[in-house]
Amino acid sequence: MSDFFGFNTVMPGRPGSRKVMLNPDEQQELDRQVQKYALETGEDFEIYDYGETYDNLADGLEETRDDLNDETFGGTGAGTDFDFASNTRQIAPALKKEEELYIKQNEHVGVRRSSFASLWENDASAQQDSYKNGLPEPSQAASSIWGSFGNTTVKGMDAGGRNTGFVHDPVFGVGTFALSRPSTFGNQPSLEEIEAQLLRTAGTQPQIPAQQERKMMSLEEVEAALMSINGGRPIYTESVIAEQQAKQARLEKRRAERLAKQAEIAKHNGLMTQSDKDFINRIQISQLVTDDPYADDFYCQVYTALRNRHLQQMGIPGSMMDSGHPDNRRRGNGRTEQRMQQQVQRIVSDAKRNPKRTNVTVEGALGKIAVNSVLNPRQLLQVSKRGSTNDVLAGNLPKPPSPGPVSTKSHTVLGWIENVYTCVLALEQMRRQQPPPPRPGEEELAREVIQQWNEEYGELARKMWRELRITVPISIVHPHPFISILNYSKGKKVIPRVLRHLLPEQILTLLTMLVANFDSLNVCKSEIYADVEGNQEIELFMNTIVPPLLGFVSEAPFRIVVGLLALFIERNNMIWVARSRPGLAFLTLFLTRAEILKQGHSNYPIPDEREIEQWNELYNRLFSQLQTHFAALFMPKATMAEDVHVWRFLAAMAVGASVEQQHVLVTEVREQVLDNVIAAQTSRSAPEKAAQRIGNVNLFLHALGLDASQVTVPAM
Amino acid sequence: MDDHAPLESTGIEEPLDLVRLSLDERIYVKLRGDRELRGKLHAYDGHLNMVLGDVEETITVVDVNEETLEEVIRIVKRNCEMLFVRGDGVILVSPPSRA
Repeated sequence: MSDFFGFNTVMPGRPGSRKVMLNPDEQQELDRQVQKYALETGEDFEIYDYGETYDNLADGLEETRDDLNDETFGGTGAGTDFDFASNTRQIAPALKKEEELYIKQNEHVGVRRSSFASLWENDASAQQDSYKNGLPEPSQAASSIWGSFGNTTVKGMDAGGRNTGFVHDPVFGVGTFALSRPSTFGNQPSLEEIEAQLLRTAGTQPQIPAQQERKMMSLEEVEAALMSINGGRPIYTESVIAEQQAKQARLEKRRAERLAKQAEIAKHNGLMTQSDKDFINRIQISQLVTDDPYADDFYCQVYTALRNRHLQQMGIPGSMMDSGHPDNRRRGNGRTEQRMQQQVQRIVSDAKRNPKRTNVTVEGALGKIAVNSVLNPRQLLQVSKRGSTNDVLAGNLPKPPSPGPVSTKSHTVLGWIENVYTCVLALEQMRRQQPPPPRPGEEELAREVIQQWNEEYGELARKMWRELRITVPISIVHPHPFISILNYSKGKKVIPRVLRHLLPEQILTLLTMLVANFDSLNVCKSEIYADVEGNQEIELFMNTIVPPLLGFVSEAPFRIVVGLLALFIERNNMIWVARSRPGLAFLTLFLTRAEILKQGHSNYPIPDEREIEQWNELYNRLFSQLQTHFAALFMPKATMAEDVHVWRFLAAMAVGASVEQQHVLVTEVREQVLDNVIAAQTSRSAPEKAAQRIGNVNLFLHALGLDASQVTVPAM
Repeated sequence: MDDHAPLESTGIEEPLDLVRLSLDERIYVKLRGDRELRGKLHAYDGHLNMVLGDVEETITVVDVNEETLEEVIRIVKRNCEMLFVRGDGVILVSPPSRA
């Protein structure tokens, strides 16, 4: 019973504590050893009477100025009669009775203690004498409660400091003996005794400590208990037990470490208030907040957008930023998260209110406080910009004279492409910041804003146009700068994004330039089909450049289509161009558009006779150039899917062809038609492949008014 | 409308601008620890951290025979679809030789 209502009251060296709990045998052994030691050293333990060793140093102290003590402490003097005990005295009999009961219960403790205390008997009795002399005799029971105080204080006063050393003696812990010793004699209860008494008067058993003790039972204890039930026979071998003990020790050690760590952390608990934490959070988050997330955090924005779209397709609502995943998060975090979001909103609105401040001057502060952020980091290096260095060099190095034929080195072209990208990115950014349509009542103000935006946008678009270098006259450089740009895959990729910012006449210029220089495109070279990378380039061209231009041509008037086709035929080797997929795609495009317009289309006037005549002339030129080469348009070893565009082109040719021309066409591609029909009929391939073959052939045959079913397969 | 930027100007001002030219192109990267990379440059930053696609990594290993002290040079290659390169290991970035 070392607990006082569950609080640990164990003092070091105290006989009542569990740590020093010795059984009578051990006690006797200890006594014997102490005596033996005394004999060996020839010392009597009685010499540790501090009365004799005390050297009366305190007497040498100069203690004057006592004349004002009366004023300080009151004239009557404190006296030695501290009557704390008078109240206690009234219930003394009852207390004494209970104490006696308790002592009976704990008799064995008393016996053991007496033997231990007997070592100090002489000294102790002298002690008691000394303080009893100085005190008005309190009742036994009263002293049992207040005695411990009386012991030290009174001794100190009474004997003139004689006992101070005694109480604090570090070697033998005599002081603690002195405090607890009286309980051995049955007149001073310890904390345990008081607790026991109180519990007894309350009519309850000390359950809480007992429970705690049960909880603390280790595995070994449980095991021991089980073993005692089983008649004390050991169940496990010794090695197992040792192992378990080691494990237990490890666990115990880890637990202690954890507790120590927790205690270490816990000492900072409550150091910051919630508003402090919010403040810190704001500082940290404000570094990341931007009012222009598309420019500063582009990839995250795009990723989030794509992801949300994907999630919505799968029927899962919510976005990464807004709601998170309710199932993934513990509910406890909800409030914190909400607070965080509120903070972020506040910071964003703050940032919008005071845009682009790089430093602030606080009144009364010396100097300026820099407002740094991720976007505006503290500048560590001051590198002089090109202005200063160029000024110095300009005198020595005039601009290199431009040579006649400008070489288009790869890094020059790459530089152009990067400039185009820079412009495109800036334009896209401006598009996102386009001022909203005017609200009623604010038209005047809004018009100004929109006007300004339009000017800036137009300026940037013109810059991009210049960087594309489409207007460089043909035949200054070969290949044409614009074609050089298109020969890089990133140059192709940027075109759809460029076209969005171009005016219709600029698109027409672009298309004209492309058509005029078509055969210098790398995708137009037949050897490009040989390798994988080349095929990727063609695929890219077909996916990036053809679709937007197709959209443009499909709305162009007849006159422009005629002009473009004329230029196409004029400036390129048709046999060469037609053998490439992109070339064939453009030819098909012009032919079908012209055919649609010739037949009359809703919004466009039917072309007049002169235009039709021009067209027919062009068509005949094209046909005659391609004649005897139609069969060669099919790629050797091409798969069916790759053939589609050839069939489509043939169909477009067939529609506008005269009877003789149709005859020529059929004769030239007869082989291919038959091959496909035979392949489809002789079920060597899967049904859907067969259907595709027939479909391809029919593209062409339907244009002639025929059908694949009419083809008679010659006997093999 | 018929103006265009001069043909020579490329807007190259600092070394990293040259790296920018290689965006979306195949490049050659020499790394510390006898490693080389060849791949398509998707992205880079001022530390020369890079994201490369379709990478072939070449590691040169020198095995020393403990008895004869003979050095055997071994070349290990591996391919990655996508690779993040930390800039502190980069020694050299260049367009691959077009030979």
